[in-house]
Amino acid sequence: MKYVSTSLMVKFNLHMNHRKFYIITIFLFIIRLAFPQDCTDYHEFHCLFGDYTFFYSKQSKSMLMRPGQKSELKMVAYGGEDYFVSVCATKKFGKLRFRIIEDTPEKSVLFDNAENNYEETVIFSNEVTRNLIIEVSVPEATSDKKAKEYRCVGVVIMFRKTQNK
Amino acid sequence: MRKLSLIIFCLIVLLISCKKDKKIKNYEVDRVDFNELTNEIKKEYYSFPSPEEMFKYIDSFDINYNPELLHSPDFSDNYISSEDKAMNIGIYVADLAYITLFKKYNESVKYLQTIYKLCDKLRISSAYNKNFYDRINNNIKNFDSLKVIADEAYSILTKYLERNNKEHIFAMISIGAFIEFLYLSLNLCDKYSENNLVVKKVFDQKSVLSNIYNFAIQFNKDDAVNKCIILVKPLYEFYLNLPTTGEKTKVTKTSGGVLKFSGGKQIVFGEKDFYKLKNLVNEIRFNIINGKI
Repeated sequence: MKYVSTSLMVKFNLHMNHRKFYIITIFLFIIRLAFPQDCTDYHEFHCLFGDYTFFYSKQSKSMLMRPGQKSELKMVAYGGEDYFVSVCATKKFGKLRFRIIEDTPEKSVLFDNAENNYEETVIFSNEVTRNLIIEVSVPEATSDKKAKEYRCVGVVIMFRKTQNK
Repeated sequence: MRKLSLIIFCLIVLLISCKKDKKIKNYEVDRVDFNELTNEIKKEYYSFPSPEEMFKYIDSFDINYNPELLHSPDFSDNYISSEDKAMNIGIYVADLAYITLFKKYNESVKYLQTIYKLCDKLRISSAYNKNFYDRINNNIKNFDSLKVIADEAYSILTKYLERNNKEHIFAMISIGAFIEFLYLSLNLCDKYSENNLVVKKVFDQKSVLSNIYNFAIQFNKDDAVNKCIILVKPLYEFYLNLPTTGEKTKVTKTSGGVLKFSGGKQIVFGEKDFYKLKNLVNEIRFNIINGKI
C-alpha cells in the first residue's frame, strides 16, 4: 500500500510539474509577443568598433526601424577630432545605406556609403565643430509581411583627437 | 508519453516564436531608389556628447582643478520639485565628470552617493541596483574601481531612462549637466584672451546646446521640462544670434585615404561676448542650484 501511494504521489507531482512547465512556457511566449524589441544596447553588441585609438562616444544610438524607413541621428562633431562611424542591423534588412549630411539649411551631403559599395563604416577627420546628421535608410521589403517587421538598427560613433602628422 | 508530449509542445512553441531561417536573398540594392522612401516614416533622434566627452574636448591641459567651483553635495536635500532634482542631478553628473578628468577619485564617492540619492527622490534609482550602490561603498579607497564606477554611472542612468520612456527626465538632466560644464569651463578661463583655446571651445558648444535644446523641445508639454527650457532659452538665443563667418564645407581625402571635412561656418566672438556668456551662465546656474527654476 505504501508503495502504491508513493507511486501515486510521484505521478501526481510529475503531473503538477508538467502543468507548471506548460503554464510558464506559455506565459514567457506571451511576454515575448507582448513586449516590443528593446534596442537600447543593440549597437554595442552588433556594430563594428574602431581601433584602440578611438574613444566610444555616448552619442552612439540604436533605433527601431522597418524596411523602407529612413531615420536621422543628429550628432555633434567637434573640431580637431577624428570620428569613426559604423552602422549595423539584421542581415534580413539587407545592405543599409547611410549618409553624413551637414545639419545646416543647405543640408550638404558630405558622405554617402552608396558610393563606397555600401560599406558599414567610415572614418573622417573634422576641422571645425559642426552639427551633422547621420541618415540611415533601410531598403524596401520584398513582401508586405516583411514590410511591417520592425528591427533594431545601430549606429556606433567613436572619436579621438586628430593626430597631427 | 508525457515526455513525448512535452517535447512536441516545446517544438511547437519554438517554431511559432522563431522565424524560419530562410536563405537571405541578396538584395539587388543598386536597383532600389532610396530617394523614393517617404519622409512620412522618417524619424529624428538627437544625440550630444556626454559631460565627460565635453571635458575631454576642453582638455585637462588647458584647465586647472578647482574644487571650490563644484556644487556642494550638502545642498542635495534642498530640492523638492522634479525639475530641481533632475537639473541638479545633471549638475552633479558634470561635477563628477570634472573630478574624474583630474583623477580625484576620493572626491567622486560623495558625488556618486549624491547622484544616487537624488535619483532615489526622483524615483529613478532603480537604474542603479543595490549592487552598484554597494560597489561605491566597498571601493572608497580603490581608485581604479571608482573610475570604472564613475564612467558607468552616466551610461547606466541614460540607458534606464531611455528604456523606461523617461527621456523627458534625461532632457532635464542633460540641460543641468551642460550648464554646469559651461560654468566650470568659463570660470576656469577667468579672463578673456584671444589665444585662449578654452574660450574658443566654449563658444563651439553652440552645436551641443542646439541638439540638447531641440531634444528637450520634444517634451515641452511636460511642465517640468518646459520650465527648464524657459530657463535656458536666453542662452540658446544668445548662441543663435552670434554672427558666423566661413566658406562652404569641403570634403577632401588625406594622403592616408581618410575623409576630411574642412571649412564651414565658424562663430565670431569677442571679449564682450565672452563676459556676456559668462554672466548668463552664472545666472542660470545660480537659479538651478538654488532651486529657483
